[in-house]
Amino acid sequence: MRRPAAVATAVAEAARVGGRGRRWIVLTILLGAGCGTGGQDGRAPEGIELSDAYAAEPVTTDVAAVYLTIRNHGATPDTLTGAQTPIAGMVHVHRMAGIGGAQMRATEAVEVPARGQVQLRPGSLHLMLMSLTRRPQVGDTIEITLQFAHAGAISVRAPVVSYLDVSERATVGAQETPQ
Amino acid sequence: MLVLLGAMVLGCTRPDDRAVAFASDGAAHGLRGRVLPAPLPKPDLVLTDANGEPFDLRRETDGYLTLLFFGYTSCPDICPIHMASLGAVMQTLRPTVRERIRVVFVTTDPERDTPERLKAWLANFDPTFIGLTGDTATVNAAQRALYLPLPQIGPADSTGAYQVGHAAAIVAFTPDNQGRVMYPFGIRQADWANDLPKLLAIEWAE
Repeated sequence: MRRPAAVATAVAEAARVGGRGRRWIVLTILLGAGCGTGGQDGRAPEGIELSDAYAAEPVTTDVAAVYLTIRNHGATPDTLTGAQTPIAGMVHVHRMAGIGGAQMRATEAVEVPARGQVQLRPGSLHLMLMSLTRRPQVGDTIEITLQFAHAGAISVRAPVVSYLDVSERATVGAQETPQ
Repeated sequence: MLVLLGAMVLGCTRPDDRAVAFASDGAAHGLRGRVLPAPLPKPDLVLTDANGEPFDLRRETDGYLTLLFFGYTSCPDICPIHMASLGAVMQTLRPTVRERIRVVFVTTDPERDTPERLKAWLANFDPTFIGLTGDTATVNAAQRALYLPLPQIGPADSTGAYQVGHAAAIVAFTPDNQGRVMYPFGIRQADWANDLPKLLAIEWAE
């Protein structure tokens, strides 16, 4: 016997990626908060540190994605308000959210909690580069400058990796990570 | 909260059904995808393929393990990640397995995704992947039949570019043309490598 409602629930569950891993993700973030190891790059005196940046080699010159971790070592929250890079006409911060998948939204601003961190990672938040002046390739590095309300402009270098490499960093449940 | 929202979005779900929904687990078959509690029929869809020819989904993919995904080529994250992963794993499969699989990418952005563009984009991952386009009503009906959330076209920015929200999951139809397993975003090459041969071999009770 078919149970359409049950199927609908299961599809929704699978599509929005399961809840079982969620608490662990939250826990990981809490544990990770405030224990940054100090930046190789992008460290600013105000206490914002950018690390683990990478870009996906774009398929077209229309659009590319950059991922990174933003740590706030300071005692006050800060806000990511935008980003720029010489190779793109425009950069948006995008959040993948919503039931069932990639309900993609341009995000006006992303708060980085005091002594906390925000991860821009596959299936969740990313910097979306648009109108690229060229198509960067694996092995290239993209220089990108993030703008924070308090810390000001902070730059980071994002090595370009393949989408296959990005897929191997993707995790089921990424879309549910609370930000 | 998310579950409640899901129920609201999808309409008729009753809380009682959750127990049934999760009673069926991929682990029973050694699968890493999520086995649906009851199979879903393959959508009856005639769309346009990457060569501009009509493509009858049921007829063209009959007897194949068919992986169906709804996405768009201006997508920077979910879509190319899924396709890269599938493209890579296809190369690792034995030819006898690979030949029995069809990967079908249906655009949720028919405005920009012309057949030519779909073909060129998919060729970056695997030239055998099938790109389909069609009118929004037809494509939406197929997604509705699979209980997938419908695409949402975002607002255009100053350059006219816009984003399209769409379901992140891939639906696997076994060779008997039944949709049986869902693959959420985050599924990796190793998961596909584990599941694809099994999906061709499992004998399903229903």
